[in-house]
Amino acid sequence: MRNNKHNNNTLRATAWMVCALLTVATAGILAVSPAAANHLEAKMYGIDNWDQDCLQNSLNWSAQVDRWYNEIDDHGWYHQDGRFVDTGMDRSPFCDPDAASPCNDGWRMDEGDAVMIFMHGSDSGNHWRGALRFDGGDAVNDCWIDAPESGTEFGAGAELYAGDMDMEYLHLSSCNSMDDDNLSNSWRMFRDPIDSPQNGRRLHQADGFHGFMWIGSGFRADYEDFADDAFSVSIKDSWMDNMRRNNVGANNDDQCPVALAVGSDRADCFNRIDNERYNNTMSDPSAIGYYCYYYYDGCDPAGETPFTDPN
Amino acid sequence: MKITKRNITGLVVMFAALQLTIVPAQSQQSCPELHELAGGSLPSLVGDVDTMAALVAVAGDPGIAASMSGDKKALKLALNAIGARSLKASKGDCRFDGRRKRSDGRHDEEAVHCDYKARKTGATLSIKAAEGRLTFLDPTRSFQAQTDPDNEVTDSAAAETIKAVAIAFGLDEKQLDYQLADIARVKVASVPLSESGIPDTDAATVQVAEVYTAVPRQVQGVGVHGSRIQASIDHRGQVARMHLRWPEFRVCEGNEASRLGPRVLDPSKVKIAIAEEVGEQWACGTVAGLRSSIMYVPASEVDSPGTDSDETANDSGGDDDGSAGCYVPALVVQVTGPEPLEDSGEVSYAGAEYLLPLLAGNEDPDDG
Repeated sequence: MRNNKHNNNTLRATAWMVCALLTVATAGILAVSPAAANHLEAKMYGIDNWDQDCLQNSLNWSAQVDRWYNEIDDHGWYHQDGRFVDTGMDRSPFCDPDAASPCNDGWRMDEGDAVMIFMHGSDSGNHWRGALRFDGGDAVNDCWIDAPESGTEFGAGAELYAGDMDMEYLHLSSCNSMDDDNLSNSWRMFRDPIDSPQNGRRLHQADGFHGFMWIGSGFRADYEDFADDAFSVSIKDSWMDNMRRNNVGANNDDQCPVALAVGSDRADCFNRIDNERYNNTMSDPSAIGYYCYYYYDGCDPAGETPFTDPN
Repeated sequence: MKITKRNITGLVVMFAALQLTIVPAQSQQSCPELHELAGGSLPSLVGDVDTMAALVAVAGDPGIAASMSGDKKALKLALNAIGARSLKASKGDCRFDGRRKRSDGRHDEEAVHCDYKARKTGATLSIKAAEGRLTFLDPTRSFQAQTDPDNEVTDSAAAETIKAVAIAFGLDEKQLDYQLADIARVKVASVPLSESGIPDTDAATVQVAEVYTAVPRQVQGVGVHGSRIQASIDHRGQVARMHLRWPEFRVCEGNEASRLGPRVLDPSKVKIAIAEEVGEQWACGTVAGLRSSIMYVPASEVDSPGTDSDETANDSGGDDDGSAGCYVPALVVQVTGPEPLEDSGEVSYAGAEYLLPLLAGNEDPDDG
């Protein structure tokens, strides 16, 4: 009896332990599940109102980008990790600490997996730069976030390097963000010249516009469809399909999307740009030996001459 | 000045004057000049009661809702047209809201949203009938730059393809505005980099990947804002991807021609409305080009001058894509800023579009 009782007690204790462990494990799984199911981070950073240190025309841009942000988390892969509009839009969230100071992109923009930046743009030399809302104070006094180009790297003016912390996909809802004559430099923002060779982290794809882009209620569904389609076909296809427009503005202009990726070699570059979807992300490029890009031949926007392949 | 791509003279005569009045880019030194620019852009028929009466008197059209929901035979024929016979809706892939089941056992077409999938190819077809939206995506037809040959589909072949598809999906061919059709080639380039990061352009490659085609919608010669069919054609001449935004079209009730007269806004008021709406966001001197054209616009999108309707549309949860509801004739105003010199580093303002009423009482009631 005693032994039986002892055995029963042992069995009960064991059963209790198993139940407890199962309960803890189940609770753990339940607690982890939402994050695991939507383990990737989508973020949006941009500006509606240029009414502070850096004055420009204001537009309700976020209403357009919201459609992307509100769609991308509907597919079980991404969660909304930050909607940053106007507040704190100096260069800090976008610039790399290896390039300038104070910069904090590692905990801000580059901490997301898929990120959309929206702001007025500019074709500056051979690179894109975005118009900020705040200048960062007297010590910084910078109303622009500058992508790199040859001759401006390693602290010589370039500020925006993506992918060396986490980001895979950078979408630039901004004029001149992928001008034809700047594409030979666009690949430079896909890595941090100092950190990427050490940690192996690099951006996979950047999407933008040759020349001017457009804002308005009639363009918002394009952003939703872009996010939606990019779970079924490549991000590149989705960007190219949904952002193309013709016959807009006083000169019957086009809106001209461009998608650009990098790879260790030609095959790697093509494989990435043709097949990466929001739900099919490859490992980071091991090196940048090639860049490749899709464009609309002869696309004729405001703010630029018709797209001419620079090669 | 770029070559104008639109040929105004080809439009239906009665509505020719409704379409575009293009103001050449010109510098603007003061706010009164914005008024001048706005006035100069107005189509000559703004404020014309007879014209407005004709615009609101047009017949409605069911859009894709009628042809694509609840009619399996029609859908099968349409899928054949895009070579997607294997698309099937699994149980549960068609969603009904349950409130609209009719007495005959069928579901009201407005409540249906179907997602079809082909298991082998991963192709998908999404139909949101109530919104008039249909999306077909076949990843196996997307261009693979490493292996696929150049796309040699001609413009005329692409135009024939999209026309055939449009008809197969039940669109009224008279509503396809071929004069504004867009046919463009998607190309892909690859460029090797030296170890020091110098592009070797001599070793670069360029391929023709796809042919993109899009045709906007018109009703009796007047454009329907946000409504179009677009397709990407692969190197075999197949539809790789297609987007249809073709909702039911009907002019909103309460806009009967007989009661319209007093509600037709005078051109001077419309001009002021343009200047107010644009001037709220564009500083004096920053508008370089302004185009105004009369289109049918979803009533929910029409702005009230002097308010930030964009925010309202956003807050309202997305009924701002021409997808549902009724239409009113309205003025579509598109604004561009100055074009900076190449490489100058000067700001480029994104182009902006505003949708303004031509009839009093057609503003979005939630607006402002």
